[in-house]
Amino acid sequence: MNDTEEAVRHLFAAATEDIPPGVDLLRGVRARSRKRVVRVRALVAAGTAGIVAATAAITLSAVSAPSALAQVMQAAARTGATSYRLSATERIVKIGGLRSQPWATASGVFDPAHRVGEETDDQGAQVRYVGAYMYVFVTDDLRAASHIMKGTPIPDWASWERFPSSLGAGAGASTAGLAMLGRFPALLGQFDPQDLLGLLKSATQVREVGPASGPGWTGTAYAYSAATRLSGGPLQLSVSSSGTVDVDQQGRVRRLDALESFDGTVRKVDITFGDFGLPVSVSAPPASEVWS
Amino acid sequence: MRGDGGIEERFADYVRERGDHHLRVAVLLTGDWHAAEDLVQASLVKLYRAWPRLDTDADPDAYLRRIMVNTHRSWWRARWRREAPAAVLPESASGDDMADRQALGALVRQALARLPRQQRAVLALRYAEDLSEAEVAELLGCSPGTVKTHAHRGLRALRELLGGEFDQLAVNETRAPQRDSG
Repeated sequence: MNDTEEAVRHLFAAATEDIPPGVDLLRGVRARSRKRVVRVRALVAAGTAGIVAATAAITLSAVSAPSALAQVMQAAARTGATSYRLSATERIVKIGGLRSQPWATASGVFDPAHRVGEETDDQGAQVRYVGAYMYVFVTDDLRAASHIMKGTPIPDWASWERFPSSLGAGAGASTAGLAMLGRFPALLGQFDPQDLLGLLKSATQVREVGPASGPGWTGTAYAYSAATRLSGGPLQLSVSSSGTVDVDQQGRVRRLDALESFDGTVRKVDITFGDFGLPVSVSAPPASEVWS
Repeated sequence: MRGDGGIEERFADYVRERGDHHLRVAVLLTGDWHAAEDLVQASLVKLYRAWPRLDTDADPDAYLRRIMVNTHRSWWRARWRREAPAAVLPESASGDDMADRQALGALVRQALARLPRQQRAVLALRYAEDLSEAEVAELLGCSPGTVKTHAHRGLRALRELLGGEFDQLAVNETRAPQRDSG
């Protein structure tokens, strides 16, 4: 066996050891043998802008309870349409040309219906969403990166950079995130939770794995995988995500624990949602500090 | 010929003992755990139907492997399963903690998913199932020379996709604790 073959064997071992929780092949075989299966193929629509819907396979059991896929998709839509508070830990694990980043703790409040939101983390990152725009605080890292990336560096007088925002009720994986990637593909310290909820709506494989609970709520945990392709102007981006999502009895997402892959980056994120319906007030930074 | 009594129990024992192994091979074929689970379950249903007719000295692994390869081929041709498009892959990796190892696993699966189906199947069968070129050729219905070509091209493509640190990735993995993948 040569070195390359040996290397591949080791890499395949790494690629195959993390079997997701809740996989029960025997139960699945028995279920397939018993249930009446109706498979619906959804159309994949591609355009030059907006979101590409993923192809979905929906399995309906003989008992007409909502499928796991439907439960998760509805929860994502319901959560994305209300205001909420979030807390998260995240880590960019793999990124083109850069080593893994340390864990960051983030918190924020969002009101998609009124197109406002705010998020900060313990690495100094800040993002404000106000109407049609997203304002990103220019950290030292961001400013330094702008000087080595292709394009115009952020001027010294600017404390914020402005991007178009698609934060809104029911918004999905966004071209705003894409715009950020276009500028700083290697430095996505922030994330738009609506992007993540939108990605859930593109889930193609969902399976119930057991009960879930948290302070003041109980519900169900699901394992999922999702993928979509974003198009915005000249930019194309494939995004995939897999992990577990907890949905409470009111059909809202309470927790999202996911591994996301996009544009040479792999990100681990663990988000909790709560305080649904809270009032959210966010102001844009002073215009004199904003560069776009 | 297996007796009627206990057929289901013997089949269930087989799935419990060998199911995870075939699931691991399936994820290399499909690039996605859920698609892999679907593939293995669909294949196991077919195997179960054939189970009473298997010779007592038959190797169910070989039967299931053939069913999986054929089923994956037919799904690919029908595009019934849309395989997730893979993003551009990063250049560097570290294998120091669980998140990194999970991410590395995701990257390797993504890289595999970008390969042509035949190259992917050859690599999975050669280096995860440890089949010989002749055995892989018989399964895929091609010549051993074609298998050798697919393996060579697949390895080269993996090396390119995983970046110039392909060997470094593997060196890191040789230092990490290894699980029994059987």
